[in-house]
Amino acid sequence: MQRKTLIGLGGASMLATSLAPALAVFDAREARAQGAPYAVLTAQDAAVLESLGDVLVPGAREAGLTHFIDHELASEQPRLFLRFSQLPEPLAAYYASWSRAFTSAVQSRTGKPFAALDAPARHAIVEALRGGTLAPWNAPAPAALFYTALRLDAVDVVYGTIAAFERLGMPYMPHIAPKTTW
Amino acid sequence: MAAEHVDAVVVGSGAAGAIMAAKLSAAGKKVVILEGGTTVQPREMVSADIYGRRLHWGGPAPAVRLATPAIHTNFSTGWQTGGTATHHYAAWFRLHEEDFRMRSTFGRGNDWPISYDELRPYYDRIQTEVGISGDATAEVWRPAGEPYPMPGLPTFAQGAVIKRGFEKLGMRTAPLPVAINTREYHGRPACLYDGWCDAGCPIGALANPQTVYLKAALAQGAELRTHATVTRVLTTANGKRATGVEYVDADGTRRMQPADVVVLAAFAIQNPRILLNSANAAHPNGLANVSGMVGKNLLVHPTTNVYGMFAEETQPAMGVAIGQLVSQDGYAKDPQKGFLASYQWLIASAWKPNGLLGLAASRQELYGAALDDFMHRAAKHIGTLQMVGETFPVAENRVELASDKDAYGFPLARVVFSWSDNERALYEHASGEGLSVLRAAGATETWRGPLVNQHLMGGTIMGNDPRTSVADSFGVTHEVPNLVIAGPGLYPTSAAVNPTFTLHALALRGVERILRAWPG
Repeated sequence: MQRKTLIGLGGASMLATSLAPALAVFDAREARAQGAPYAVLTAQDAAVLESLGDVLVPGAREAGLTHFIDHELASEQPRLFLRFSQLPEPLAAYYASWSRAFTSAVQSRTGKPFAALDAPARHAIVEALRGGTLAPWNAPAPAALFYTALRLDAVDVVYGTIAAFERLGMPYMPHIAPKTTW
Repeated sequence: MAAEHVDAVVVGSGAAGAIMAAKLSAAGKKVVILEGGTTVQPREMVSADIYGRRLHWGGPAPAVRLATPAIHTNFSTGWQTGGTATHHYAAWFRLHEEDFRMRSTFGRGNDWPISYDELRPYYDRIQTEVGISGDATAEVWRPAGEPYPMPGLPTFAQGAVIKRGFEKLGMRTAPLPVAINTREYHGRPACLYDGWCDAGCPIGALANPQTVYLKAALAQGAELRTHATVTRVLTTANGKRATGVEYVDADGTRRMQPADVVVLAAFAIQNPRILLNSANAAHPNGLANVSGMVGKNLLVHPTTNVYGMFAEETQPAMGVAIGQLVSQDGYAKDPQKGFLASYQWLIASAWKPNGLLGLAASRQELYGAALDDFMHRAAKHIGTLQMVGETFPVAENRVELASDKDAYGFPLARVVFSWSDNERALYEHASGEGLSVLRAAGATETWRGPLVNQHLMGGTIMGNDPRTSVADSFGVTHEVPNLVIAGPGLYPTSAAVNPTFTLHALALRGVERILRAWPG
């Protein structure tokens, strides 16, 4: 069972972690609320992923989307959707390249960062991303896969929890209840 | 570094390896099981989709490369105690009589080297040992066999709503036969119908290897070593007999396990990889590969889901992951349909919000407020059908060695697979039919998913002719009489039913033959 604490996820996080309250069991929402440092993602990449992810699945930001992604990328076996795409390199590289390709393409197309766009402009960007027409796209994996992966990661943190099941009116009925929020 | 000589070494602790080890150890043989993955115990099977993903292949060291275009394999494989079957959904069907003679009937594809009648007694015995729930009378398509030992699955609201659509179109349904207990059976409890099958079944209601045959094997003295990655099968200098296997343990130490009999039960991709990587002076093209057939005829089940939203509540969370009902009215192979393939419908699977098969994944185009609205409606009103179809077998769909290597210096497996017009025509036909069923059932909104794959078969197919197959009908390789293949890799055709029951029946038939003709 993977119940890693934030301590030990990576050397880069050790100093900052020691300044933040330690979590007994990793919880993405709590990690975000506490401002826990990232082990793999850069703050810049995380901000881009969070901004887009919250548009794809409202509530993903507060649910700790980027801390969830970061936690999984730092583990030996990331349980993100992307593991089923069977890409040949470590998954972390894809999130970093996607974030940068997305930032660059949005800037090229609109002259603004994604977070500064109004709702119709964001919608146009998301549709281009989903359809694979967002250009230029300088990443090794397709734009459409970025949309799919980030959207399902956001779904995990927003709709995959016991509390979310309750909100949806679905009985959770666990044999063994998860210790984390998912 | 060589270990103590044993009677049999079994490579893989999944469904096929577990039953082989159980029967060998029951006969008094000293058995070692080598499992490349990690240990997963039932108490670790946490009920959450995210936790369940670790049961699917995806460890730190990749073993498979995909050609483009290709199928995906991680979701359909596993690498832990119990292998892929640890997360299987336990739809246990018999093949139909017609599945065994595709080539002799239609002049295309492959025949099996045995008939249904030869396999039937083994289906019946496995069914009694493991326990299957179903209604043999309602399954009007079912070939002859003993009735199921347990009554069929209950039908919840989703199943009842969709059944209405089948009935309006004059199509028949029956309780879906499953290796899941509907009442206590052989000391294992009844299912609670909470739909967490994909995360493993910690209560043992679902017959995964930890619950049945692996448990029996270990109780009978078989030894299980996890984190034991088999790299090669070793042979005598003349190549006529296997002497054991080479493997790498958790510490990275290369070891040998000598044995009288080697059973490869590492599934449809790793079995060919190990055989090809076992090339030596006597077998320069790979072990058991003088025919060049190792890796060829890789098979999957072409699959799609169709979905409907209903006005009434459907209790989508209730039931088991595979579904509640089955319809095989489209099973007959008939080229007049525009394709040569069987297919069936699995009806009313239990839903979760997230995950590869979750609510959100069924509507990839939705995001933002539209997604949230959909999630709230679907959580109470969705219904679904899954088509399981047949792949036409072709040698070009294959496993071969990749150019890059694993940490131990052995080439990875490379999967090359393309859909043909046959599967595309099947998809169009079946998905259209499925949408019609849902509309007839009263769905106010319907949609379909893409053509995808599930299950892996073939790659080391069995047959009577050593020029066109790797093993005989017992799984014994044509070239090395003490090297045995177990599992769905033996299937010459995929048929259109879930493969786990058949692999058990074949393994039982094979292991009893091996015990009768034990090398000595």
